[in-house]
Amino acid sequence: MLEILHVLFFCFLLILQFFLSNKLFQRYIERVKRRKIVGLDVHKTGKPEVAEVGGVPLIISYILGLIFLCAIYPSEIPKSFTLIAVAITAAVIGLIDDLSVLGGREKPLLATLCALPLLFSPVFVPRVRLPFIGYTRLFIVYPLLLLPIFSVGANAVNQLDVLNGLMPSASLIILFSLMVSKLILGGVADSLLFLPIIVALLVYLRYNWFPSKIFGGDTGSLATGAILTGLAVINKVEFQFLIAFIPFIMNGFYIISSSGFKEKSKVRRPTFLTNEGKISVSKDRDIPMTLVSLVVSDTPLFEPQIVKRIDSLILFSSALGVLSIFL
Amino acid sequence: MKAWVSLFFIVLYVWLSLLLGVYFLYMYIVPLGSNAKGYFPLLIYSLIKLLMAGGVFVLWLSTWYYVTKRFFEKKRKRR
Repeated sequence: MLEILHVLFFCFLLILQFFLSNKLFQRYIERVKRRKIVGLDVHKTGKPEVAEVGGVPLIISYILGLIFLCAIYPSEIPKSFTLIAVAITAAVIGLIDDLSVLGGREKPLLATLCALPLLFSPVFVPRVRLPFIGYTRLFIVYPLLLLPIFSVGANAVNQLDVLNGLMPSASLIILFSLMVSKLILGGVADSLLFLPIIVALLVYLRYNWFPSKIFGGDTGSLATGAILTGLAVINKVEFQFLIAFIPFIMNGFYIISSSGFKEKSKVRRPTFLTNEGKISVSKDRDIPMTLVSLVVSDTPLFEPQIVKRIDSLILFSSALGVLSIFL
Repeated sequence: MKAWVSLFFIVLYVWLSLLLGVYFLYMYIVPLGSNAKGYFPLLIYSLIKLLMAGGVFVLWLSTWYYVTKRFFEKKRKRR
């Protein structure tokens, strides 16, 4: 009875988080536009100005949700505070990048710092659950691998944050699949840990969806990537995360292998906007290969169409991730 | 085949090869040095295993990259 009351009260707090975050985003967009902190939406005719650095209200909303969770479930305090530290570290790196562009090598290096709060936290258990094998003992290798894992996780999300609504919708699909994986594995209380970021991303998606009113910037994308990675490591669903994350890794890997470690703004644009407002692949020879350019390689498409296609690809990889639990 | 549809097959290929890779890694590479004792021998064995796994990983990534690259160029040329 008491447990049901706890869950109901937590649901009420999540609804409260949703409405408070909604208000926060509205106010933030107004203020940021007034101060001219804006970016150009290059995938629209006329290139309209859109409010930038939307990662700040996203992180505030997430922290608010985690505080609500800790109020109802004090046992989740260590995990929640570790995740807050991870999110803040990534957001600070992203904010530095948004204010003064970091180099293509500095950003992945700095992103490894996101792993430090988890490495020094008691909630980190270096045991990975793998298919066919079960829980493994990787007490030496896993802590070493955690640094590049966080860098890849944060930067892969950052590299796919190129179209309206793509980053939050894709991240939400992955988060839902990880939550389902955790529920199947039997961690009902721990699966609640996914809800604060789901609510924060839902509100962000409302404003980031086509036509976008706010861009998350590197603050939002790096922090979301780091939170996703942190949640997967803490909840012991690393392999499911790796599978669901394949389209993100594919995109990052294609960009790095075709144009090296260059800053996003310095990489040649692989796509261009047609007169009809569709996105088409560039005819230049030396353009980098990206997930978006692969999707439009045979036919030009409108921005929401591309987002839906990449989302369906992520839905497929997430389903494979959930399926991997049974192996 | 539509470029978008072929991406599903690439994801499927990556998933299946990862599953196979994990199985063979844990069956044949991880048991190496299982009788070693002490921090440093364990660390050295771990690093050797990490290097071996890394080598296979790089090989796997490069085949995957070249297949996609060829496919991408073919599609672009056909347009």
